[in-house]
Amino acid sequence: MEIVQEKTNDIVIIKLIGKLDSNTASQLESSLMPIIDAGEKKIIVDGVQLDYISSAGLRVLLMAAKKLKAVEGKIVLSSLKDYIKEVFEIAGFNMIFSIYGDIKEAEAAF
Amino acid sequence: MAERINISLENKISEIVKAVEKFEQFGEEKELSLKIINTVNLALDEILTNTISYGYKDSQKHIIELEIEIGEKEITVTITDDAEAFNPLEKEEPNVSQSVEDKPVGGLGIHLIKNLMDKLEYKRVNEKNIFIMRKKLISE
Repeated sequence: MEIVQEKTNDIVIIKLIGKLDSNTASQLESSLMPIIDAGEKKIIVDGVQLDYISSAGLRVLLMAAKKLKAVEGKIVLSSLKDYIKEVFEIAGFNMIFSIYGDIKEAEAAF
Repeated sequence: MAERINISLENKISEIVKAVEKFEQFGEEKELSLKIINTVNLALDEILTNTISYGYKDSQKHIIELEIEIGEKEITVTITDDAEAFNPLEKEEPNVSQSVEDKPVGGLGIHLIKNLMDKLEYKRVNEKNIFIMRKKLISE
């Protein structure tokens, strides 16, 4: 998996490319957690090029959401494929994360 | 005619990706839809992660066998391992409607499998776990 990180104003955008599974979830963990520890409070995870997510990936997103909630920050998602949205719904993650159609919509939500 | 592939892997997390890639290649050759391939990939990733992470009490090398059969109407995945007895069907359902603070980090893998696959079966035979997952190829 490839992780591309961008920052516009005070919003960090993390683009996930490929598969977020048991093998790659630790990659996301080690890029996401230091950002939060550094004090970033607005994070968008974009899935336009994300092909797949497993519970290991969901776990990392949940850990990030918990950390951000404690400091009144927020993590949202954008451009998820239908199949990935279905996994979010089954896990009940659609009730925890706001999911937007694209990055622009997500940016407007902050 | 049914098409079949057998894949063996060692009880190491790094082996999962290799097994999943073999299935993916097979699925593409047999022209399965991307949705079916992704669903089976996810189920394989979840169950194998579970077995390899929690199933073995020793630090020995073990072999996990996968048999994947593509029939006319459904795909059948059989996973056979010599790990500790574990029936995924008896695992308690996680509460998926909790708030972010209360939501436990984990326990979602089996829940995803139960909801994404159409039929699950578990047997313990000769000190081995046999877990069978079926998914319909055509949605009704």
